[in-house]
Amino acid sequence: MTVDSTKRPTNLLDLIRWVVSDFDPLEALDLLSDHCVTNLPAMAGGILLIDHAGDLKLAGASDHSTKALELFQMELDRGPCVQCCRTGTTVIDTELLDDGPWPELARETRNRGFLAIYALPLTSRGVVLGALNLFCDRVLDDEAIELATTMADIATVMVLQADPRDEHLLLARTLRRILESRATLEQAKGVLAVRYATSPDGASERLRWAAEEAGLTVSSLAEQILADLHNQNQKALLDRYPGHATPR
Amino acid sequence: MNNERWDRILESVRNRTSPGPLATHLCAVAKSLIHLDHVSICLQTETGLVSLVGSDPLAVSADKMQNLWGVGPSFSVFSTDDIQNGAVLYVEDVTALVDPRWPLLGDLSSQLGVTAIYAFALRSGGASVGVITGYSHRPASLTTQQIADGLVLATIVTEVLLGLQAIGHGPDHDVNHISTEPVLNEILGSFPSSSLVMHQAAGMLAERLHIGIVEAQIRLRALAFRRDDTLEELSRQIIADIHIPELEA
Repeated sequence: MTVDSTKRPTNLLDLIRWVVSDFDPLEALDLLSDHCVTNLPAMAGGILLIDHAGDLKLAGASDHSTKALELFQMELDRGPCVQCCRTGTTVIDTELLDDGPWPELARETRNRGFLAIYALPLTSRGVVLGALNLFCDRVLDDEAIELATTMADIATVMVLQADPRDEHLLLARTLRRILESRATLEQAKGVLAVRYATSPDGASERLRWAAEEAGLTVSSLAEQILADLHNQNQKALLDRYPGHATPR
Repeated sequence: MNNERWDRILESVRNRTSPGPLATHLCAVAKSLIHLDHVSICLQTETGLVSLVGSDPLAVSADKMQNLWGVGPSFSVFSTDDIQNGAVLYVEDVTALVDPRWPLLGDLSSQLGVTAIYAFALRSGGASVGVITGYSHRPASLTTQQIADGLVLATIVTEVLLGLQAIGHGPDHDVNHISTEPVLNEILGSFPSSSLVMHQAAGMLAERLHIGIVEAQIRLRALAFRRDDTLEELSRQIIADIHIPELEA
């Protein structure tokens, strides 16, 4: 079956089909995070990968707001996801105690209306690649945890799909590519947020819309915007965005 | 994260044994760390790659040959196709290579005795800062671990080069002549500081001030140094649209 790789899939099965065709891993990880929020009682989802230097970096997120990014970044210091990446095992915190192992994160997470954090490892042949992180407003039942584990497995395939050979260096390069794309995307969002006087979320929506409209991946449109900052060849396309402007 | 590789490489960058310019030191670190015979660092400018420093005359000559052709791994490492490879591009035996992109690469062997070439892109998101090129007289001389070390070193060198230019308050400052110890400590003090909010803020700054993304990153760092803020804190303020008088100047 042929799959239009420029059309973003709307359900899980399409997403999997899309992954086995030509796809943009960065966008796929964002979409997978979106699917976690749609299909699970999760309010925010994010995928952290261990980069070439061994650091944890955010590779995909359901919620592009700076608030969510901040939460994930707090996680980078200490939290269930970090522990999950270190041990390669699922880490669940449904108590978020002030005197627990990560009191600051627990407090901040509760303040944002979440009641539980789930971190599921992305592993392949004994190598931990990263973790899928879910922030939930209720405790997940067994069925939901099983679905979340499947999502983590799909994320693993997405990361490995770009280069399925099990070689440390290839993996390091793939991870670096995904994480560089993430940084590029954030830069492009910053550019569009100022250009269209919108929030980073609004900029992100415009970027996605324009990429789909032009048949490009989000990553390559972001690259083009940065490479052509002041000539603005993509201006006409980006200006056509029909969505509501999200004021800053 | 417990991170042996990162700490080890950061330590060798911090640990200066010679009094020369910082750029020379970075070359020396690359040479010994990755086990390369010759190393150079080039900066990406609007007009192309400009040689910053070489470990020795041979590295400079090899760079010049690539510059003369206008093609080669040090150039291609920036092209979109090869960035797909993860920011390192290498040819393990130039005498065995028949790559239509680089028909003259074999000259490196016949003229300089170089058989392997390794180019590590210095990138920060969509910004190309420069390239570290390593040359070796033995084909396929690097191990997987050494190439992985090179990727980490490239990340650190990118930060040092952006930081040096920030302290010089502009991209034109000659970073080759900065050699003071406190400068390196200041730049690497809170490193790794790179975060997603920093990239978002750099994009905003580029658009607001009509400057390139590299310059935006340099200005962001310069401002953070001047205000004694962390990059992350300053970035959050920019994203939150908090008035920063220095940015209006």
